[in-house]
Amino acid sequence: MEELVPMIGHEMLRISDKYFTTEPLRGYARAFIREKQAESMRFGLLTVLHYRMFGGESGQIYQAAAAVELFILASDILDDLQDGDAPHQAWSQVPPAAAMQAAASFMVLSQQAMLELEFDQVLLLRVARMMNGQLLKAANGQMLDLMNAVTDEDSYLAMVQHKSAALIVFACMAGVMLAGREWHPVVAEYAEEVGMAAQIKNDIKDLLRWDDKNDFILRKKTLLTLFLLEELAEGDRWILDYFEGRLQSEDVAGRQQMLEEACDRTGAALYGSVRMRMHFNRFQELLEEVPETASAKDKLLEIFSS
Amino acid sequence: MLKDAIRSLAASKEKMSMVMGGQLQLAGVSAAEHKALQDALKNQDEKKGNYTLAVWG
Repeated sequence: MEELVPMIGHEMLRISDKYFTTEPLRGYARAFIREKQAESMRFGLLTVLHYRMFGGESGQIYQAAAAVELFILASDILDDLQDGDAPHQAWSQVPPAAAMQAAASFMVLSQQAMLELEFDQVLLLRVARMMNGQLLKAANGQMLDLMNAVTDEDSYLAMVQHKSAALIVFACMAGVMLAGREWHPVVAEYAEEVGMAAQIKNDIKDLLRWDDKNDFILRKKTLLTLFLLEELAEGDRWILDYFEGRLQSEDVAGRQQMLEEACDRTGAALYGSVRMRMHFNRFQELLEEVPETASAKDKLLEIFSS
Repeated sequence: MLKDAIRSLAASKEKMSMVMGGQLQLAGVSAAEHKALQDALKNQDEKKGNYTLAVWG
């Protein structure tokens, strides 16, 4: 599937050049798209793969995949600007106002790329409605995440379902629906499951790393930190004290090993690992229920492991 | 319940080995949870951030 990445990148650049005709927007857009292409285009690949699995044959699907990736690029830029933790990215090296404007422009460009496909207009309208529905769902989740509005496990899972899973559903379903099929509930469910698994995997990594992105340092409420905070022994109370603001970051600097030990002792790391596997196992079970995926299961798994 | 089961396992290496070996069935844990638990215990490196599971992140 990786051989398709340059084709999707080419389409992104073509559409970008068509509408971004003045500098510096044109130059910024080209630089950001190139950076995105060098990283990954897994969402666009999901669109192409689902389109083909469900019988689609048009070469225009690369433009649709480009539309998907343009939205993902816009989300990535906004996410990095909000978190301020990706100084190496091209969009972090231009004035923030310019990066923000480019992100907003990519969102509109994404819609335009989808609507300009030479497909049946009724079908395109259905796809556009699905697209906006999923993207608006993701917007709700992003705001909850940004405000650290999670209060318990249920609200955490709802946030992830909105923020992360909705974008994977969008990418997969764009392919399914452009192939002329209706909304496919089982595809939506397996896309959600894999999205949940991916987010929990990130949460495990982000609790055990020890830098500016560490969820503990950021006092971020995730499946793991919520579990960790639920039942702390006396010797681990400093973790709660930090989360509730009675200790500051300088007070906990150098306590990486203590945190790791607490994660082991409480079972927080194991809990995250089990929950991640449950979602991934469910994803694999659901794949079996969709006969169209039979011929491309390996490719699908290849995208998720890349 | 899964959380209680995990807390009791985290406190006992012996229980962990028994679950891995299929000699201990945990009360209140569903078949799907049990399978995921066994997989996770067999891949303990995951908790250090080294994954055998193919999901992007």
